[in-house]
Amino acid sequence: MVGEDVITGVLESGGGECEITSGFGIPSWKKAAGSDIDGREDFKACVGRFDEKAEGTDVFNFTYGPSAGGLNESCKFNIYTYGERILSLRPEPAYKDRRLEVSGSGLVMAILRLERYCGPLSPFYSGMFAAAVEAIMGNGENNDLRLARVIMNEVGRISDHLYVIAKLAEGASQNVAYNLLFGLREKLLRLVSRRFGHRYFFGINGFGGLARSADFGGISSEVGAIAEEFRQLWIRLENSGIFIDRIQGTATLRRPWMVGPAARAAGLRTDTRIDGSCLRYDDLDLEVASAASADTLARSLVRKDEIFASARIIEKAESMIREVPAAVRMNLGEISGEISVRTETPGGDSLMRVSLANGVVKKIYIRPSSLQNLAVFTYAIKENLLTDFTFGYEGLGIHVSELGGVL
Amino acid sequence: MKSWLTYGLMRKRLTTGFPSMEAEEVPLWTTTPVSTGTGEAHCPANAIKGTTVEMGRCISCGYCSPAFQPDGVPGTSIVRSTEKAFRKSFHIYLFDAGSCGSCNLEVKALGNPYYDMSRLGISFCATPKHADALIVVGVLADGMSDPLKRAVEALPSPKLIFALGACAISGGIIGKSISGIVDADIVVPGCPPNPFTILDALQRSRGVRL
Ligand code: SF4
Ligand code: SF4
Repeated sequence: MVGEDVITGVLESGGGECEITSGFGIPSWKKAAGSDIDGREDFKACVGRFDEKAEGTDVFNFTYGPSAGGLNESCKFNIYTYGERILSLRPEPAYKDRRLEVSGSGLVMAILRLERYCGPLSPFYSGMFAAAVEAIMGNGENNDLRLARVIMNEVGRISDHLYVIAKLAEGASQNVAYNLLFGLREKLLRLVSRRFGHRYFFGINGFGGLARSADFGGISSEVGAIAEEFRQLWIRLENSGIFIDRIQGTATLRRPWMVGPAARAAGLRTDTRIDGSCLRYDDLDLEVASAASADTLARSLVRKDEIFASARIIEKAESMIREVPAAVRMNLGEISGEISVRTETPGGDSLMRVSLANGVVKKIYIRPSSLQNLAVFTYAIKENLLTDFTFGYEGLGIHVSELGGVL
Repeated sequence: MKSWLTYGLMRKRLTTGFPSMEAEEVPLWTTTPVSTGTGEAHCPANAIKGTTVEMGRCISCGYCSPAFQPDGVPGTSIVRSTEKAFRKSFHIYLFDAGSCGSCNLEVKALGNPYYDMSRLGISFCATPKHADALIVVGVLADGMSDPLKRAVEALPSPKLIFALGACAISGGIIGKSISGIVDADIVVPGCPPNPFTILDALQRSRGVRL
């Protein structure tokens, strides 16, 4: 995948459509015929466009959502089926697009809004934005702040992976496993609340330091105990024929543009933590998980391994962290500049392009991992059974709020 | 290997005694910030009015510390009307009008073994048609206006509408509140409100004395 330009989204502009491409280096925008993307000021986020219709005798078309009991977040799906088989599927995630306004905001308001861009992934997005601002300001990297952000992100990753595996267990009617996994996640959220002052890390990331004091002492042993409890649960889950049958061979896909656990589950060694522009992991013994079968089972195996790997990273980071600086709240300065940063969210590589003018956000563009994962789902679920929908969708850990625009 | 059932039963009891007993581990910054009389507070959400905080606007950011400190009391909701018909069984439907995803997860957390809302006769349902209450989270995204109107119409009577979280109540720092479409019977502040606060609101909304 390195060096290859891939289409990561479609952006509407003046009635035309532009393909957004991104290689592994600097993001770029490629004009589709008749469109003008370079002149755009608002960088309205791209919305995946998948509109393959299926036609023919006995092809049945119906919609699911945007609000449905089985969906955690609102999203509409247009589904074409033949019997129980899904022929084609078109997601419409724009229903709940909040068109989050960040342009024109001061930096403090911008970071508060960006941590609410996708609440469950808040440390990733607020950390990315803070790192971008610090880089524009020319602040050198503070090692303790880097380690603090690594710890917060890895705790966030464990939380998200636990949620994904719990949802798969729920789909397979493994109710004891589902409840115990959800309980483990609750234990983790309580740890976050106690140590960071908010269950979703809101209000913690600041510029040049943390906006609130946090307690890192002994965090790795608490997280390690949660990972160990998870290990006991996983041993039982992988011995459950009902669970494995539902996810093995489900929503299989291999494409060079995939990111995150979906890519690693297809044997691609891609992880922004290796060479991302936001946080260094080179001294933290990062082990990149991988699997081969590219299906929902393989994605779960990658997530399972990443829970243990994150616990080990947290242990290493805690052993190295000293004193984390406090954030600068005032006098952030009349800074101007533009930079792209990327980070490995639990769903994979996410990219943020930040442009500041005189201490105010001029424009921001985010290309989230959920955009690629939604595309993975759309292609992978074809030819699967309707009852596989939950496993294909939940197994990719898609956050619909991430698919909304940032203005 | 032990069966799932045996394995589950062998775990120690996780479920809270709340609301009959005091809540353990309330996430502080989702509760009401109270003036400490020290220093000046800068509230990014304009929630501070003199020495009090308008909780419907508060985004639980903690930026007002040390001039304000949270009181740690989970019962922050305002219950404008109650429906005693739901005292024995209460079916709730979560409606995402444009959330960041966290309010949704805090409502769903009520089903985990720590809160286990089923012990109180509360359960999720899959459609507003079968629900007693609609729990609306998030700001009102343009695309969700019509689905929200339809969900409210589909609710059988009697019914209760909850606006849950700063976004749904006031728009928070993100967008529009849901008030243009529906008036909430119960508002549950916080960004996001913690599960104890949500449980407290659900109980009070059906007239259960705590
Ligand atoms: S917690 Fe934040 S939003 Fe709430 S009153 Fe304090 S500063 Fe304002
Ligand atoms: S109130 Fe806060 S947690 Fe809830 S949806 Fe809005 S931003 Fe997210």
